[in-house]
Amino acid sequence: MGLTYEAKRKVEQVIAERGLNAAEVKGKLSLRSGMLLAFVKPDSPDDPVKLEKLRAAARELLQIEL
Amino acid sequence: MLGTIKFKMIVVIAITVGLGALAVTWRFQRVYEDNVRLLSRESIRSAAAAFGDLERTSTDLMVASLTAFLRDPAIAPAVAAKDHDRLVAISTPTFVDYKARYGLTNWNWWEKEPDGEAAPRALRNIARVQRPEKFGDLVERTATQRIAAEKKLVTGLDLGFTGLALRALLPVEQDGRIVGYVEWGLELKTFLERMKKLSGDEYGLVVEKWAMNREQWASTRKHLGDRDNWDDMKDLLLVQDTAQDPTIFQHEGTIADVPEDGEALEVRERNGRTYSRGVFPISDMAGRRIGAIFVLHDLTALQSEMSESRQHAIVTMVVLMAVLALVLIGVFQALVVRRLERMTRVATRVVGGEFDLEVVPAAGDEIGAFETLFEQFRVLFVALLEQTQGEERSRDERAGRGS
Repeated sequence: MGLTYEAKRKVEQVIAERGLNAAEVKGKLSLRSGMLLAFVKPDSPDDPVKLEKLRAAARELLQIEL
Repeated sequence: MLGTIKFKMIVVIAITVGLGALAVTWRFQRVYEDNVRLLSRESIRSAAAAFGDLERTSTDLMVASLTAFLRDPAIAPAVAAKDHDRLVAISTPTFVDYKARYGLTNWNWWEKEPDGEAAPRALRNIARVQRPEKFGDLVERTATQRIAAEKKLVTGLDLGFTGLALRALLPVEQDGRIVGYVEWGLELKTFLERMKKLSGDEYGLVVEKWAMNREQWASTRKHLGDRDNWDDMKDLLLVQDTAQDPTIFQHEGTIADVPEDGEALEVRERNGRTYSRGVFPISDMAGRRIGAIFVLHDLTALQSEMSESRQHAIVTMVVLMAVLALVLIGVFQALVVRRLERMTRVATRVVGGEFDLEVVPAAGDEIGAFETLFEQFRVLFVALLEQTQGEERSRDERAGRGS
């Protein structure tokens, strides 16, 4: 299981905990990181640049560390 | 917020409102100045007309009353005899009556010039009804010179020691021979006061100093208990006025510079009031331009009314522009901003996995065209994703069967 998939799961967990609109939050994170979170699977390869962008976006939008 | 179109619109509207207020202020100032010019010219024109009317009617009155008075058979013998006391006694009741009723101020009886002198420079006074104790002196004036030379009715303005007076002179005849002259006079101060009563404006009569005698002027002012104002102006002398404060007639120009139909000079502030100043020239009975009448028209009421109107107009314009701005912003918000925000939201959620979220064009306008285009992009995007996913699934299945 790649780091990107792990990050996606953590995001989904926070969305569920906080009762946020999943499509909206994932859409924002996808647009900022440059990858479609909906299509990230356990065996998806990690792109370090995109992963870093995803972390930065999560930090800003959700105030969490991935 | 600072980068939004809404904020930029507010800035543009605020600048427009500010410029509008400046334009209204400027326009009102122009209207005020135009009105001041108009009023000033009108006050000069009406003062000149009133002056002309008063001159005409006063002349008619003096001529008619003298003509009637000279029918008294006791007059001519008294003039021929240069009988000062008799002339004063006969004239005084009429003089007192006319002074009270019509403001006539001077009544003079003159000796006939010596025989053989066709155009004497001066005539000897037999009696001044208004000042009986002063008589017997030779007086050199345009009016006396003209009556002695022409031997017929002479009327017009004439400069004396106390200023300008309107005079009417007639010869006194006995048995077809001229034995002397009679003169009615009306000092211009009476004119100015009548004009003030009619218009409410203030008037000041100014003459060129060269036409006056320095010592006699000082003596006359002293006799009347007035301050000697000879040095108040360089070339001009204020001889009569209706104002409480004569310094408002101060003028450094000359009478010769004043156009024939008068001119508006300036607007002045004094003791919290605003006046327009104008002037028109006057000529004596010899046709010489010897003085001018200054007209002060009080503009204070007009100024405060204009100022009030200007404030009302600016406030009304600012309120209207503010209401218009709110309406424009509201319309812009509904027609553009909300629809763009909705498209942004939909785009975000589609990317987030909510692929079946549609954008329905809200209207057939420019944003509606963009909404339609956006929806077409969304459909293509979702189709592309489904195609990619399908290919990926097939690849995975093939890989599973192969393993």
